[in-house]
Amino acid sequence: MKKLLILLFIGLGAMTLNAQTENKPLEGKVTIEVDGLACPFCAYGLEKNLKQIEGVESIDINIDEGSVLLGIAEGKQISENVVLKKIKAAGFTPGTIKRGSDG
Amino acid sequence: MDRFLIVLVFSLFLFSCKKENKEWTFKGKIELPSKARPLALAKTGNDLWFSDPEQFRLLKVNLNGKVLDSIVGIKRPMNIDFNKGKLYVPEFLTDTIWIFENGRKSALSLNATPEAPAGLNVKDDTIAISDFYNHRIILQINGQVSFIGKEGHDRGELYYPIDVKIQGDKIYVADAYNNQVQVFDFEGKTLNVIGKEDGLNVASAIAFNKEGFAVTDQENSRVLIYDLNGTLQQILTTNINYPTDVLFDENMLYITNFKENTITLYQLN
Repeated sequence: MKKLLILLFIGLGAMTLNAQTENKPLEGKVTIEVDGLACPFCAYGLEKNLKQIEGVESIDINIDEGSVLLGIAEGKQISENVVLKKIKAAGFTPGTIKRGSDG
Repeated sequence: MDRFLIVLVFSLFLFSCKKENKEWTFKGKIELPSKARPLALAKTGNDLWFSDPEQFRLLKVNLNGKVLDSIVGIKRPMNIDFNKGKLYVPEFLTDTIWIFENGRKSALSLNATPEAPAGLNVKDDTIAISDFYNHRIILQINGQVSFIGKEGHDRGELYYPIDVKIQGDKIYVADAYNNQVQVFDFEGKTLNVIGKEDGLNVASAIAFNKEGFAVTDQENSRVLIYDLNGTLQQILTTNINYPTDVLFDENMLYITNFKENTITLYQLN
């Protein structure tokens, strides 16, 4: 029983930590890898979608590398989930997110 | 001797009846400025306009690739069209269709709002626009608007249409992510579906000549040539790198290579 409780606490702790990491707000420069960015029509469509997020100051789509460099306005923070949702809504699968990239 | 003459005349008759079997063959490439990524083409006289959305511009070049003119500051110009001295440019990020004529720029008056216009075709008082994110074609005739298609994968439905061409009383749609060309009448009834069985993987552009039409098979780096009935005639693969547009000019065929700074030329022989 004791073992089960310990495992339960560890599990809950890991879940909370994971959720906190996922929801950590984005700021400054952020590079997001995106699968399937080769098609220009879709890539610029993603650009159009991301532009709708309040606080996004600049977007640099790199079709060759399959990545998006987001510039977030100074003093602004954007929820990572909001960005990921926009990417998924545009029909793409988001990959690794690198924070603080200078491009 | 009589028999010989009969055979000779018959052979000559057969020879004269033999259909000329012309084929498109690779002719060469037009080198463009190093940073250019040509997406779409329009022919004006002896020169070519191409849209370069990566650089937010359009460039006019001669057939040697020398830059003659430019239009800058367009937020992702897509599949352009040239008709009666006017260059029509869909601006993907602002949902605007720009018209350039004699150095003047004006916005096309549209009675419907597209979401990411990817391509268009103008014939007299009729304009057809590929409404990429609304999965439909906007058809405006003398200011009257109607729509063709809706989102889906069945006959008559579209999934991210990129290019559209008006051909007589038919409308041909590059139904990009359904990997096919759909042919509609002006009432929106599907007349034909072409290309799926030929392995099309993202049909991004259509061009017509007298004999038929060409379709870009973007993800397979091919261009497929069809007759007017939609029967496959030839598959072009040589020196084609991610084609996003195709254009006929008499016995020449121009193909954009979006992944490099070139336009490929084929000739009918």
